[in-house]
Amino acid sequence: MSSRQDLRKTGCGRSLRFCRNFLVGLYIGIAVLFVSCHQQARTSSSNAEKLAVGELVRTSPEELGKLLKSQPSDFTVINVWATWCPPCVHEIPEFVRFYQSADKTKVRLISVVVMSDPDGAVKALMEKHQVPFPVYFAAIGSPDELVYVLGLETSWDGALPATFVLNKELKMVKEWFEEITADELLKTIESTAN
Amino acid sequence: MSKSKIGVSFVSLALAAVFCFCVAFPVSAQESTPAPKPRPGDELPAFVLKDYNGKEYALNNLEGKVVVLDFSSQECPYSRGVDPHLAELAKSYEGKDVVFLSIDSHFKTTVEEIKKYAEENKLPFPILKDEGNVYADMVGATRTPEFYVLNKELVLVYHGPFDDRKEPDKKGETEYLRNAIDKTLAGKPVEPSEVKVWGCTIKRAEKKAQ
Repeated sequence: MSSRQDLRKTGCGRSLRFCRNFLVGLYIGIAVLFVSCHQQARTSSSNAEKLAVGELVRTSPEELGKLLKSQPSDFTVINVWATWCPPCVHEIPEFVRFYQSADKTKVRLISVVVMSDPDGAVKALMEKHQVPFPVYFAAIGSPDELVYVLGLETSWDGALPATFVLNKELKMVKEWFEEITADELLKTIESTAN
Repeated sequence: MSKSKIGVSFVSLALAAVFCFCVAFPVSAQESTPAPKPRPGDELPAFVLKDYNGKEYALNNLEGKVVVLDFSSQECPYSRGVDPHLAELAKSYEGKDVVFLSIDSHFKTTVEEIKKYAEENKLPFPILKDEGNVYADMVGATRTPEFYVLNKELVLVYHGPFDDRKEPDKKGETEYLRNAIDKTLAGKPVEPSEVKVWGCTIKRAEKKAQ
Protein backbone atom coordinates (compact mmCIF):
# COMPACT_ATOMS: atom_id res chain seq x y z
CA MET A 1 0.00 0.00 0.00
CA SER A 2 2.58 2.47 1.08
CA SER A 3 5.02 1.44 -1.68
CA ARG A 4 2.25 1.94 -4.23
CA GLN A 5 1.63 5.40 -2.85
CA ASP A 6 5.33 6.15 -2.97
CA LEU A 7 5.48 5.10 -6.58
CA ARG A 8 2.50 7.25 -7.38
CA LYS A 9 4.27 10.17 -5.83
CA THR A 10 7.17 9.64 -8.16
CA GLY A 11 4.84 9.72 -11.14
CA CYS A 12 4.37 5.98 -11.68
CA GLY A 13 0.65 5.94 -11.67
CA ARG A 14 -0.04 4.36 -15.07
CA SER A 15 1.60 0.93 -15.23
CA LEU A 16 3.06 -0.13 -11.94
CA ARG A 17 4.98 -3.13 -13.26
CA PHE A 18 6.52 -1.16 -16.09
CA CYS A 19 7.47 1.58 -13.76
CA ARG A 20 9.00 -0.76 -11.17
CA ASN A 21 11.05 -2.51 -13.86
CA PHE A 22 12.12 0.81 -15.23
CA LEU A 23 13.31 2.05 -11.83
CA VAL A 24 15.16 -1.19 -11.05
CA GLY A 25 16.84 -1.00 -14.45
CA LEU A 26 17.75 2.60 -13.83
CA TYR A 27 19.29 1.79 -10.46
CA ILE A 28 21.29 -1.10 -11.91
CA GLY A 29 22.38 1.09 -14.82
CA ILE A 30 23.55 3.85 -12.51
CA ALA A 31 25.38 1.36 -10.30
CA VAL A 32 27.16 -0.23 -13.29
CA LEU A 33 28.06 3.17 -14.66
CA PHE A 34 29.36 4.32 -11.29
CA VAL A 35 31.52 1.22 -10.76
CA SER A 36 32.98 1.31 -14.26
CA CYS A 37 33.73 5.04 -14.05
CA HIS A 38 35.36 4.54 -10.71
CA GLN A 39 37.51 1.72 -12.06
CA GLN A 40 38.42 3.74 -15.11
CA ALA A 41 39.45 6.67 -12.93
CA ARG A 42 41.58 4.37 -10.83
CA THR A 43 43.35 2.79 -13.79
CA SER A 44 43.90 6.13 -15.49
CA SER A 45 45.32 7.66 -12.33
CA SER A 46 47.69 4.73 -11.85
CA ASN A 47 48.73 5.07 -15.51
CA ALA A 48 49.33 8.75 -14.92
CA GLU A 49 51.51 7.95 -11.93
CA LYS A 50 53.59 5.54 -13.99
CA LEU A 51 54.02 8.10 -16.73
CA ALA A 52 54.38 11.11 -14.52
CA VAL A 53 57.42 10.59 -12.35
CA GLY A 54 60.60 10.81 -14.36
CA GLU A 55 63.69 8.77 -13.72
CA LEU A 56 66.49 9.83 -11.42
CA VAL A 57 69.57 9.19 -13.55
CA ARG A 58 72.88 8.75 -11.77
CA THR A 59 75.60 9.68 -14.17
CA SER A 60 79.15 10.95 -14.37
CA PRO A 61 80.14 14.51 -15.33
CA GLU A 62 81.61 13.14 -18.58
CA GLU A 63 78.40 11.29 -19.47
CA LEU A 64 76.44 14.46 -18.79
CA GLY A 65 78.65 16.28 -21.28
CA LYS A 66 78.10 13.52 -23.84
CA LEU A 67 74.36 13.63 -23.28
CA LEU A 68 74.29 17.35 -24.03
CA LYS A 69 76.30 16.95 -27.22
CA SER A 70 74.30 13.95 -28.50
CA GLN A 71 71.35 14.71 -30.75
CA PRO A 72 71.04 18.42 -30.06
CA SER A 73 67.47 19.71 -30.30
CA ASP A 74 66.59 23.14 -31.63
CA PHE A 75 66.71 24.25 -28.01
CA THR A 76 68.19 22.72 -24.89
CA VAL A 77 67.17 24.00 -21.49
CA ILE A 78 69.53 23.16 -18.63
CA ASN A 79 68.30 23.72 -15.09
CA VAL A 80 70.75 23.32 -12.21
CA TRP A 81 69.27 23.02 -8.76
CA ALA A 82 69.71 21.66 -5.23
CA THR A 83 67.19 20.39 -2.72
CA TRP A 84 68.37 22.88 -0.06
CA CYS A 85 67.82 25.89 -2.31
CA PRO A 86 64.31 27.27 -1.62
CA PRO A 87 63.79 29.08 -4.95
CA CYS A 88 64.98 25.93 -6.78
CA VAL A 89 62.33 23.85 -5.05
CA HIS A 90 59.78 26.59 -5.59
CA GLU A 91 60.31 26.59 -9.36
CA ILE A 92 59.95 22.78 -9.78
CA PRO A 93 56.22 23.11 -10.69
CA GLU A 94 57.19 25.72 -13.28
CA PHE A 95 59.55 23.26 -14.94
CA VAL A 96 56.85 20.59 -14.84
CA ARG A 97 54.51 23.05 -16.56
CA PHE A 98 57.21 24.02 -19.05
CA TYR A 99 57.93 20.40 -19.89
CA GLN A 100 54.25 19.66 -20.40
CA SER A 101 53.76 22.71 -22.65
CA ALA A 102 56.97 22.59 -24.68
CA ASP A 103 57.17 20.97 -28.12
CA LYS A 104 59.40 18.06 -27.22
CA THR A 105 60.37 17.45 -30.84
CA LYS A 106 62.20 20.78 -30.74
CA VAL A 107 62.98 21.39 -27.08
CA ARG A 108 64.70 19.19 -24.53
CA LEU A 109 65.13 19.75 -20.83
CA ILE A 110 68.17 18.59 -18.89
CA SER A 111 67.57 18.92 -15.17
CA VAL A 112 70.76 18.61 -13.12
CA VAL A 113 70.64 18.33 -9.34
CA VAL A 114 73.84 19.07 -7.40
CA MET A 115 75.04 18.82 -3.80
CA SER A 116 71.93 16.92 -2.73
CA ASP A 117 70.96 13.46 -1.52
CA PRO A 118 69.68 11.70 -4.67
CA ASP A 119 67.86 8.88 -2.90
CA GLY A 120 66.39 11.02 -0.15
CA ALA A 121 65.37 14.60 -0.81
CA VAL A 122 65.65 14.47 -4.62
CA LYS A 123 63.38 11.45 -5.05
CA ALA A 124 60.92 12.81 -2.49
CA LEU A 125 60.63 16.11 -4.35
CA MET A 126 60.27 14.36 -7.71
CA GLU A 127 57.41 12.31 -6.35
CA LYS A 128 55.79 15.21 -4.56
CA HIS A 129 55.72 17.36 -7.70
CA GLN A 130 55.15 14.43 -10.09
CA VAL A 131 58.21 15.52 -12.04
CA PRO A 132 57.69 13.98 -15.51
CA PHE A 133 61.23 14.53 -16.85
CA PRO A 134 64.47 12.72 -15.95
CA VAL A 135 66.67 14.39 -13.33
CA TYR A 136 70.42 13.88 -13.64
CA PHE A 137 72.65 13.52 -10.61
CA ALA A 138 76.41 13.46 -10.97
CA ALA A 139 79.18 13.98 -8.44
CA ILE A 140 80.03 17.46 -9.68
CA GLY A 141 82.13 19.29 -7.13
CA SER A 142 81.93 22.84 -8.39
CA PRO A 143 80.11 25.10 -10.85
CA ASP A 144 83.38 25.39 -12.81
CA GLU A 145 83.41 21.63 -13.36
CA LEU A 146 79.83 21.62 -14.62
CA VAL A 147 80.50 24.59 -16.91
CA TYR A 148 83.56 22.75 -18.23
CA VAL A 149 81.90 19.38 -18.89
CA LEU A 150 78.91 21.03 -20.55
CA GLY A 151 81.12 23.46 -22.46
CA LEU A 152 78.98 26.45 -21.49
CA GLU A 153 80.01 30.00 -22.31
CA THR A 154 78.96 31.69 -19.11
CA SER A 155 80.20 33.81 -16.21
CA TRP A 156 77.99 31.86 -13.80
CA ASP A 157 79.62 31.42 -10.40
CA GLY A 158 77.38 28.82 -8.85
CA ALA A 159 74.39 30.79 -7.56
CA LEU A 160 71.34 28.52 -7.62
CA PRO A 161 69.00 28.05 -9.30
CA ALA A 162 70.61 28.51 -12.70
CA THR A 163 68.88 27.99 -16.04
CA PHE A 164 70.51 28.10 -19.45
CA VAL A 165 68.83 28.04 -22.86
CA LEU A 166 71.09 26.81 -25.68
CA ASN A 167 70.39 26.75 -29.39
CA LYS A 168 71.02 23.85 -31.79
CA GLU A 169 74.72 24.75 -32.01
CA LEU A 170 74.78 24.66 -28.17
CA LYS A 171 75.43 28.39 -28.01
CA MET A 172 73.94 30.36 -25.15
CA VAL A 173 70.62 32.01 -25.97
CA LYS A 174 69.79 33.20 -22.47
CA GLU A 175 70.73 32.45 -18.87
CA TRP A 176 69.08 33.11 -15.53
CA PHE A 177 70.62 32.89 -12.08
CA GLU A 178 67.34 33.18 -10.23
CA GLU A 179 63.93 31.56 -10.06
CA ILE A 180 62.09 31.63 -13.38
CA THR A 181 58.66 30.74 -14.70
CA ALA A 182 57.47 28.38 -17.44
CA ASP A 183 56.11 31.38 -19.35
CA GLU A 184 59.50 33.15 -19.35
CA LEU A 185 61.12 30.02 -20.77
CA LEU A 186 58.43 29.38 -23.37
CA LYS A 187 58.48 33.04 -24.41
CA THR A 188 62.28 33.05 -24.77
CA ILE A 189 62.21 29.94 -26.94
CA GLU A 190 59.29 31.19 -29.01
CA SER A 191 60.83 34.61 -29.64
CA THR A 192 64.22 33.10 -30.53
CA ALA A 193 62.69 30.47 -32.83
CA ASN A 194 60.79 33.10 -34.86
CA MET B 1 22.07 57.67 -20.74
CA SER B 2 24.02 59.73 -18.25
CA LYS B 3 25.03 56.48 -16.52
CA SER B 4 26.69 55.19 -19.66
CA LYS B 5 28.46 58.53 -20.10
CA ILE B 6 29.84 58.21 -16.61
CA GLY B 7 30.93 54.67 -17.49
CA VAL B 8 32.70 55.84 -20.63
CA SER B 9 34.49 58.64 -18.82
CA PHE B 10 35.58 56.22 -16.09
CA VAL B 11 37.05 53.86 -18.68
CA SER B 12 38.88 56.67 -20.47
CA LEU B 13 40.15 57.99 -17.13
CA ALA B 14 41.46 54.53 -16.24
CA LEU B 15 43.12 54.16 -19.64
CA ALA B 16 44.75 57.56 -19.23
CA ALA B 17 45.99 56.58 -15.77
CA VAL B 18 47.48 53.33 -17.09
CA PHE B 19 49.10 55.22 -19.96
CA CYS B 20 50.61 57.83 -17.60
CA PHE B 21 51.85 55.07 -15.28
CA CYS B 22 53.54 53.24 -18.16
CA VAL B 23 55.21 56.41 -19.43
CA ALA B 24 56.32 57.45 -15.96
CA PHE B 25 57.68 54.03 -14.97
CA PRO B 26 59.09 52.21 -17.95
CA VAL B 27 59.57 48.57 -17.07
CA SER B 28 63.15 48.16 -18.25
CA ALA B 29 64.52 51.25 -16.49
CA GLN B 30 65.80 49.29 -13.50
CA GLU B 31 68.29 47.16 -15.48
CA SER B 32 71.70 48.06 -14.09
CA THR B 33 75.07 46.85 -15.29
CA PRO B 34 77.05 45.18 -12.51
CA ALA B 35 80.45 46.62 -11.54
CA PRO B 36 83.49 44.48 -12.42
CA LYS B 37 84.07 41.93 -9.69
CA PRO B 38 87.21 42.37 -7.58
CA ARG B 39 89.74 39.61 -8.16
CA PRO B 40 92.54 38.48 -5.84
CA GLY B 41 95.11 41.26 -5.82
CA ASP B 42 92.43 43.99 -6.02
CA GLU B 43 91.42 46.27 -3.18
CA LEU B 44 87.85 45.83 -2.05
CA PRO B 45 85.57 48.89 -2.14
CA ALA B 46 85.09 50.62 1.21
CA PHE B 47 81.92 50.22 3.23
CA VAL B 48 80.31 51.64 6.33
CA LEU B 49 77.63 49.26 7.53
CA LYS B 50 75.76 48.83 10.80
CA ASP B 51 75.35 45.61 12.74
CA TYR B 52 72.07 44.53 14.35
CA ASN B 53 72.84 46.62 17.44
CA GLY B 54 73.36 49.77 15.38
CA LYS B 55 77.16 49.70 15.74
CA GLU B 56 78.96 51.01 12.67
CA TYR B 57 81.78 49.13 10.97
CA ALA B 58 83.96 50.83 8.37
CA LEU B 59 86.26 48.68 6.26
CA ASN B 60 88.91 51.40 6.23
CA ASN B 61 89.18 51.23 10.03
CA LEU B 62 90.19 47.58 9.82
CA GLU B 63 93.55 48.13 8.15
CA GLY B 64 96.24 46.12 9.91
CA LYS B 65 93.94 43.13 10.43
CA VAL B 66 93.06 40.16 8.30
CA VAL B 67 89.40 40.69 7.40
CA VAL B 68 86.99 37.84 6.66
CA LEU B 69 83.73 38.93 5.00
CA ASP B 70 80.91 36.44 4.65
CA PHE B 71 77.86 37.21 2.54
CA SER B 72 75.27 35.23 4.42
CA SER B 73 71.55 34.73 4.67
CA GLN B 74 69.48 33.05 7.32
CA GLU B 75 67.00 32.31 4.52
CA CYS B 76 69.54 29.98 2.87
CA PRO B 77 69.93 26.47 4.32
CA TYR B 78 73.49 26.25 3.04
CA SER B 79 74.43 29.56 4.68
CA ARG B 80 72.74 28.47 7.91
CA GLY B 81 74.61 25.16 7.70
CA VAL B 82 77.97 26.94 7.53
CA ASP B 83 77.27 29.39 10.38
CA PRO B 84 78.09 27.06 13.32
CA HIS B 85 81.33 26.06 11.61
CA LEU B 86 82.18 29.70 10.96
CA ALA B 87 81.49 30.48 14.62
CA GLU B 88 83.86 27.69 15.60
CA LEU B 89 86.51 29.00 13.20
CA ALA B 90 86.12 32.60 14.44
CA LYS B 91 86.57 31.44 18.04
CA SER B 92 89.76 29.61 17.11
CA TYR B 93 91.30 32.95 15.99
CA GLU B 94 90.37 34.87 19.14
CA GLY B 95 93.28 37.07 20.25
CA LYS B 96 94.73 37.11 16.74
CA ASP B 97 94.53 39.93 14.21
CA VAL B 98 91.56 38.47 12.37
CA VAL B 99 88.15 40.15 12.08
CA PHE B 100 85.07 38.18 11.03
CA LEU B 101 82.16 40.13 9.61
CA SER B 102 79.01 38.58 8.21
CA ILE B 103 76.98 40.68 5.76
CA ASP B 104 73.28 40.14 5.12
CA SER B 105 72.19 41.57 1.75
CA HIS B 106 68.98 39.57 1.40
CA PHE B 107 66.21 41.95 0.34
CA LYS B 108 63.65 40.76 2.85
CA THR B 109 65.57 40.01 6.04
CA THR B 110 65.16 42.77 8.65
CA VAL B 111 67.67 43.91 11.27
CA GLU B 112 65.38 42.51 13.99
CA GLU B 113 65.34 39.10 12.31
CA ILE B 114 69.13 39.15 12.01
CA LYS B 115 69.49 40.03 15.70
CA LYS B 116 67.13 37.24 16.71
CA TYR B 117 68.95 34.71 14.53
CA ALA B 118 72.42 35.78 15.73
CA GLU B 119 71.41 35.63 19.38
CA GLU B 120 69.59 32.31 19.12
CA ASN B 121 72.59 30.75 17.40
CA LYS B 122 75.11 32.50 19.67
CA LEU B 123 77.14 33.73 16.70
CA PRO B 124 80.34 35.36 17.95
CA PHE B 125 80.78 37.70 14.96
CA PRO B 126 78.74 40.78 13.98
CA ILE B 127 76.20 40.51 11.17
CA LEU B 128 75.99 43.75 9.20
CA LYS B 129 72.87 44.73 7.30
CA ASP B 130 73.54 45.72 3.70
CA GLU B 131 70.31 47.62 3.02
CA GLY B 132 69.31 47.50 -0.64
CA ASN B 133 72.23 45.10 -1.34
CA VAL B 134 74.40 48.12 -2.18
CA TYR B 135 77.65 46.53 -1.04
CA ALA B 136 76.84 43.13 -2.59
CA ASP B 137 76.42 45.00 -5.89
CA MET B 138 79.72 46.86 -5.41
CA VAL B 139 81.72 43.66 -5.02
CA GLY B 140 79.50 41.56 -7.27
CA ALA B 141 78.60 39.05 -4.55
CA THR B 142 75.91 36.77 -5.93
CA ARG B 143 75.37 33.97 -3.48
CA THR B 144 75.38 32.85 0.12
CA PRO B 145 77.57 31.77 1.76
CA GLU B 146 80.35 33.59 -0.10
CA PHE B 147 83.63 34.52 1.57
CA TYR B 148 86.18 37.27 0.90
CA VAL B 149 89.49 37.33 2.82
CA LEU B 150 91.47 40.58 2.80
CA ASN B 151 95.05 40.92 3.93
CA LYS B 152 96.22 43.61 6.36
CA GLU B 153 96.43 46.12 3.47
CA LEU B 154 92.79 45.30 2.68
CA VAL B 155 93.71 43.61 -0.59
CA LEU B 156 91.61 40.61 -1.63
CA VAL B 157 93.54 37.36 -1.18
CA TYR B 158 90.76 34.77 -1.25
CA HIS B 159 87.26 34.58 -2.71
CA GLY B 160 85.25 31.39 -2.39
CA PRO B 161 83.51 28.96 -0.07
CA PHE B 162 84.13 27.92 3.54
CA ASP B 163 85.15 24.41 2.51
CA ASP B 164 84.39 21.77 -0.12
CA ARG B 165 81.36 20.33 1.65
CA LYS B 166 79.03 17.97 -0.18
CA GLU B 167 76.03 18.73 2.00
CA PRO B 168 74.85 22.13 3.28
CA ASP B 169 75.38 21.37 6.97
CA LYS B 170 78.25 18.87 7.00
CA LYS B 171 81.88 19.94 6.97
CA GLY B 172 83.92 19.22 3.88
CA GLU B 173 87.46 17.88 3.72
CA THR B 174 89.32 20.89 2.33
CA GLU B 175 89.16 23.94 4.59
CA TYR B 176 89.63 26.67 1.98
CA LEU B 177 88.81 29.54 4.36
CA ARG B 178 91.05 28.41 7.22
CA ASN B 179 93.86 27.85 4.74
CA ALA B 180 93.42 31.39 3.35
CA ILE B 181 93.47 32.96 6.83
CA ASP B 182 96.51 30.97 8.00
CA LYS B 183 98.51 31.73 4.85
CA THR B 184 97.63 35.41 5.06
CA LEU B 185 98.58 35.64 8.75
CA ALA B 186 101.90 33.99 7.86
CA GLY B 187 102.42 36.48 5.01
CA LYS B 188 102.32 33.73 2.40
CA PRO B 189 100.37 33.68 -0.88
CA VAL B 190 96.99 31.98 -0.76
CA GLU B 191 96.41 29.04 -3.05
CA PRO B 192 93.74 28.51 -4.27
CA SER B 193 92.74 32.17 -4.14
CA GLU B 194 89.50 31.75 -6.06
CA VAL B 195 87.09 28.85 -5.73
CA LYS B 196 83.65 28.72 -7.23
CA VAL B 197 81.00 26.78 -5.40
CA TRP B 198 77.26 26.33 -5.23
CA GLY B 199 75.23 28.78 -3.18
CA CYS B 200 71.84 30.43 -2.76
CA THR B 201 71.27 33.44 -4.99
CA ILE B 202 71.27 36.73 -3.06
CA LYS B 203 67.78 38.07 -3.58
CA ARG B 204 68.21 41.66 -4.71
CA ALA B 205 66.04 44.50 -3.45
CA GLU B 206 65.23 45.67 -7.02
CA LYS B 207 63.19 42.54 -7.53
CA LYS B 208 60.80 43.63 -4.87
CA ALA B 209 60.58 47.34 -5.65
CA GLN B 210 57.66 47.81 -8.05
